Amino acid sequence: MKHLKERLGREWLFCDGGSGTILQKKGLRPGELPESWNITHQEEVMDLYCGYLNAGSDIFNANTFGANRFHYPDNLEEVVTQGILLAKKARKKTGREDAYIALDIGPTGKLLEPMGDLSFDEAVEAFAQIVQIGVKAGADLVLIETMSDSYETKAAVLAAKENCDLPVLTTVTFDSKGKLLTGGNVESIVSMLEGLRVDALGINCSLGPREMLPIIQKFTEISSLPVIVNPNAGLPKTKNGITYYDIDAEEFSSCMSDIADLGVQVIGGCCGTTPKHIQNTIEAVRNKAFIPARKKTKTFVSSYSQAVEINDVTKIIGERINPTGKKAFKQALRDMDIDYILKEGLKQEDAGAHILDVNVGLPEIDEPMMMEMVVKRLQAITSLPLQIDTSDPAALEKGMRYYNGKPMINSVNGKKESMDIIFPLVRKYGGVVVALCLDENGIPDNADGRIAIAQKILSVAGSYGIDKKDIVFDGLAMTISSDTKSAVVTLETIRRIHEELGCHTILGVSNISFGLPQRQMINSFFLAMAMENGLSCAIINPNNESMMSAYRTANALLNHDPQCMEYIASYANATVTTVTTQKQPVSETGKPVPVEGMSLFTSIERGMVKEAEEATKKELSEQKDPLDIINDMLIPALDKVGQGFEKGTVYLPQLLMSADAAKAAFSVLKEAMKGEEKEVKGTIILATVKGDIHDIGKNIVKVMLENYGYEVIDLGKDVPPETIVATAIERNIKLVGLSALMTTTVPSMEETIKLLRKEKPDTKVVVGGAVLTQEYADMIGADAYGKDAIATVRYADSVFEKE
Amino acid sequence: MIQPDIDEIRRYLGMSKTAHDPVTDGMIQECIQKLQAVIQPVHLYAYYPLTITDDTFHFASLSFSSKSLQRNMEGCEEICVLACTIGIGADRLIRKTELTSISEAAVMQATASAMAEAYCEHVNDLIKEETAQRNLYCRPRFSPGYGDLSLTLQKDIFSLLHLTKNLGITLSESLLMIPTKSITALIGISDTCRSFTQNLCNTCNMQNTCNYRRKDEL
Repeated sequence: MKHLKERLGREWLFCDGGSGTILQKKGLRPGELPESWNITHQEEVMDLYCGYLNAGSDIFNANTFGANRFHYPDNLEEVVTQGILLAKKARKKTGREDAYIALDIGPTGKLLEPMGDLSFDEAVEAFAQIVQIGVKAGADLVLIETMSDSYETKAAVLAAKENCDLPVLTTVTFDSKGKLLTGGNVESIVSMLEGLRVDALGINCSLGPREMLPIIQKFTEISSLPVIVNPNAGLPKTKNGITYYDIDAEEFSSCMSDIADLGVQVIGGCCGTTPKHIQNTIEAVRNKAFIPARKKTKTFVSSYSQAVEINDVTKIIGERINPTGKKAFKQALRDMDIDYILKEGLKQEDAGAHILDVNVGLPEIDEPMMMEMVVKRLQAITSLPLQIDTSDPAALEKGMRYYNGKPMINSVNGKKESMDIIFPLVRKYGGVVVALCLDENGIPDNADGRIAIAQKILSVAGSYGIDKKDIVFDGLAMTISSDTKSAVVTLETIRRIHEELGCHTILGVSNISFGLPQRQMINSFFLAMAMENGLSCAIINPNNESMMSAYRTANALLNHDPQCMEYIASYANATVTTVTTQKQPVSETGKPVPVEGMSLFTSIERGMVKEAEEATKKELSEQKDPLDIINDMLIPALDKVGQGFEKGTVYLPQLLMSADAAKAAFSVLKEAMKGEEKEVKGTIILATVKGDIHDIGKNIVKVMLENYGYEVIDLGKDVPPETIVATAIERNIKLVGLSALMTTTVPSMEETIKLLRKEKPDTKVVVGGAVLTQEYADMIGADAYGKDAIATVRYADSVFEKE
Repeated sequence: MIQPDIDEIRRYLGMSKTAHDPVTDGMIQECIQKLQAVIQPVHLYAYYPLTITDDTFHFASLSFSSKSLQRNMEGCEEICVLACTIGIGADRLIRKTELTSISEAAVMQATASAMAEAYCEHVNDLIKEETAQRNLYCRPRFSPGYGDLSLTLQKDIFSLLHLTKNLGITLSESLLMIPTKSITALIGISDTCRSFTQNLCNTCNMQNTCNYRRKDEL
């Protein structure tokens, strides 16, 4: 048998059609697990296979779509092995020894962390198990299909690649608007899958062939790999309570014939299609001219939801997630205050960044662990692609592995040692890599030398199978204060890399002005000049308005801003300033307009964030002691609102607005008290118990406790009892707050309390959550019931006052 | 466009219908707008012939017992199983909002719940229309976790409707749905119109202590 990889992309290949719909006709009851029939109804499964083999399918799926450890905890190996053995039998029986058996892998049914409760590693492990069994049983390829989450898709592809050498084909499911159910689009998923080096990719299920047309068109425009198309037999319809698909074999094959003309390479069907559909399709398409997939030259980096194209319109890479020269950021890393880092990301997104650089390196921390954590948390809240920035190969690999999309990588250079380490990682995980034009001999002081290094890097990358479109060259901006011709050299380098090598470029812009006064004047002019010379990516601080105004202005002048829309939108109502200011967040509707000179007490009472910040600054400027401000104004204001809440005259949103305002005031004070020993009333653990994923209640309590002077160790959601107890012992914690929203997760709260009583009996426990009551709290052995956030604060006060 | 019930959002936030607070009202409107931009509402439902013996239900490959559901579906010979979600975008937005404003996050949470509820109501209406065309009547919808109807039924509903594949809804180890703003429900269908006003609170075992109880409907 000719190897599939030799045929894929060189000639028409045909997949099979629906299986669930056919097994149902043979008696599979709705809701019954179809793969269990590999053991109980072998003849029917054989029939299914033979139907498609006789119809002419080149690739047919073993009945293993839902076979994973979650659905078959006890007999996974048997189910998968039988599914493949039956396929082998069917192949023999029909004389179709030329057909390929696909180990069919569908979604696990679980959502990955941090949104869901399955860790990426567990997902890879679960898929790896299926792959190992399938390979052992004799599958010819791995088909990962019907995926709607790019992160789970990545886990499955990695598992396949790490456990076999078989071809890996991957198809995902889109809605009619061309989006994945988790938000991705064609560009984002194709870039990720190409980066992971699957052998073919495409779309299946959910839509009929007609609805798929615009999406398929997009696929053929973007993908350099063979495209697979496996539609349903139309959209599901219901009549008199029965679900059916209404496109018959004739109509289906005529639609598929049109789809074949779009330049796809692998064709089959999904739900509702039958051997007849496939047979007619093969007849209609087989003799058509076959168009191989063409190599595409566009460069994309992607997140879970979008792809950003690197091209002649300069993209902003936000540089603020980086501890260099930032005291507060360094402290956040040491304290594992991930929220601080996330907020830095959100600020830059609001300010207009297209990509976020992520550098979390600090000598005293575990950088690989930190990189993994920050990448996982950051990609859950921002839709911007990330640039993994580290000199530690272990941290780089963690960042790339856990990244949900195709990342940017910062960086490789012309040294052999660097390329030996970085390129294999890019080959495995995919990515667009920043390449510095320097090597063992240092940085050439002229453009010719830098371009020669760029050419060397390109050729070595090529030997790893890394395409030139996936390399972005750093022209190396170095300060003009030590060599006044350095800006000219850098500009010439980027222009010539663009023109002579046809590659994209990037600069860390602000290096140009090191050691000079008024750096932003130099930086902003240099940015505009670099843009004119074709710069593709600028690493800058997007919160710096003079950089962003230079950026928007240059875009308008370079014809990169159609109708000057972005320029007008940004500046039509602006007053020109030359000082560095952060872009002010848009005022929120419904909120009162800022009142100047409002007292701190009033601004907290009314829940006004900006005013609270201003008032705090004013108090500080009058030389008031920060601790006095807290004790004489902040806490009394919070108390007043809290009492109102207890009496029922103040509602939850108002209470929380005050909490937000107090929090803002605190961060101003914290800044002022830098270096001083902060006074902490006590340290409290908060956690949402194992099994529960609802954490807003816990987060509300956290903000309130912090405002009242407590240090909170937030263990997050879905926290096992062991973690809570271990932390309580390690930090000698007096009070633990547990939250559960569902009656079903209260038992795990009880379990946590029991374990605490046993291992750390002097720790008090306060519990809260929608289903809890005083009675319930007593029943599970808690010390107190926190009916709401204020009640929890009061209880904490009573615990810590006793000391 | 899903239009959530504003009073319902206020109830989730612990506010009475008469409590007037323009700031919260403004925040609710803002949250609705932000959510509209990120939600991906999808739904699915299917009908099955139903037999009920005592309090045991049989349809498709499912079989389970529930006294509460039996009271709701007495006399029904058909059941509709529905599922809907407004998508993971709402969860992401809530998470993001928590970082910058806990008050807005609380309102966002309540608003997203009300939007899921409103969307489910809309799907329920579609089912009612289809049922009416067949001269049949729908009972009020009933979800796993109500009364004595076990949450473990979720597993069966998930395999029955292939919810992960079809709607992108997943089920956690502890049987919670993610995206969290998702609803599954059962609707009994019969040929007799049995109009009873249902306050679901009365079937709930938390009814005497719950903060969210619909007091005005007792």
